[in-house]
Amino acid sequence: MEPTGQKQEEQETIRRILAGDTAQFAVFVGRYQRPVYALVHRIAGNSDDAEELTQDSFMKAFSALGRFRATSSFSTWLFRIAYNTAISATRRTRRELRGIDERRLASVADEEADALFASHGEERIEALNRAVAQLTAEEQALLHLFYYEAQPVGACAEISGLSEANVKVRLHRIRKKLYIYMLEEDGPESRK
Amino acid sequence: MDPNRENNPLLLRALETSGGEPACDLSQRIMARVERRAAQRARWSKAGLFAGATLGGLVILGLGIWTIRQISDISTFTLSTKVLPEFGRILRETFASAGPITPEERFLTGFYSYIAVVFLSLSLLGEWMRRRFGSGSTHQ
Repeated sequence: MEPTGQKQEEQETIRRILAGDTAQFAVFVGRYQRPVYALVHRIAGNSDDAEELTQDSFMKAFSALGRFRATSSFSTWLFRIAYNTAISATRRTRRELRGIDERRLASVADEEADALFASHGEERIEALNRAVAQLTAEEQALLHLFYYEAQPVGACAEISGLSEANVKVRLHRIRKKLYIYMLEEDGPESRK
Repeated sequence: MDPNRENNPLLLRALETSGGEPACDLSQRIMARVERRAAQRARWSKAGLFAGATLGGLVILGLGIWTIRQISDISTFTLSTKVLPEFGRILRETFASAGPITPEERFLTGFYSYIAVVFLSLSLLGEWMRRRFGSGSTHQ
């Protein structure tokens, strides 16, 4: 959540930009280019597309600035633009991902997944990254927004266009999916 | 089923290590595109205002000349040669700046458009009344 002071300052900056002082937009670019880049990179999966999509997202935000209503924070609004831009751009090129059987997901106890993610094993990081790469772009974006950007569930819902309940369910399933992918990588002996 | 953000060191480390960082500062590229878009938008807005002012002004002039012709013997040509250059001068002087839209430009367009709409509405109303009630009709 953004502090009220920052929200007011951002609204004042928006007012100035709309009045013709476009150079003020640099404030937003400087403040949000890294998190926006990180989100679209997570969705697009490569640096070239991420750079292009970051620029496109800021251009769209600039063009639509007059329609920004301060019902949500500026960062949430900007993330939503970046999320939609990246998801639309990668829709055509997205690879087929294998699904996981529902019964398999249901068989994983929450505690098992919790124990895995609570561990500190540096040697598991690579394996976990490979597991994350097997998630869909939407799932990776949700994971990134909630855990890495520490966005609240409400903001994640607003950004992704899902309901809050749906975000919670998806995050829950993502954890289980990651757990299963990692188990599969470890081989059958790890399931004993 | 609230998702648990705390106590996920492995997940956080994995997201940190696989997260993307821009190779260079994108600010300059983004701001260059923003400035170009802003300039383009200003040009189109100004062109729109200019077209509005010209159209509105021409409607006013046309109706004005037509009205004067009804009550005097001055020819349309004489009237046009007197008022059109003056109208052109006002437009030229008002829209001389290439920068952002000025209050004068906005005022002139608004004023012309407003008067033009009022004139046109009155003309249409007059025409409708003439047909409806037949008053002043030369065909009766």
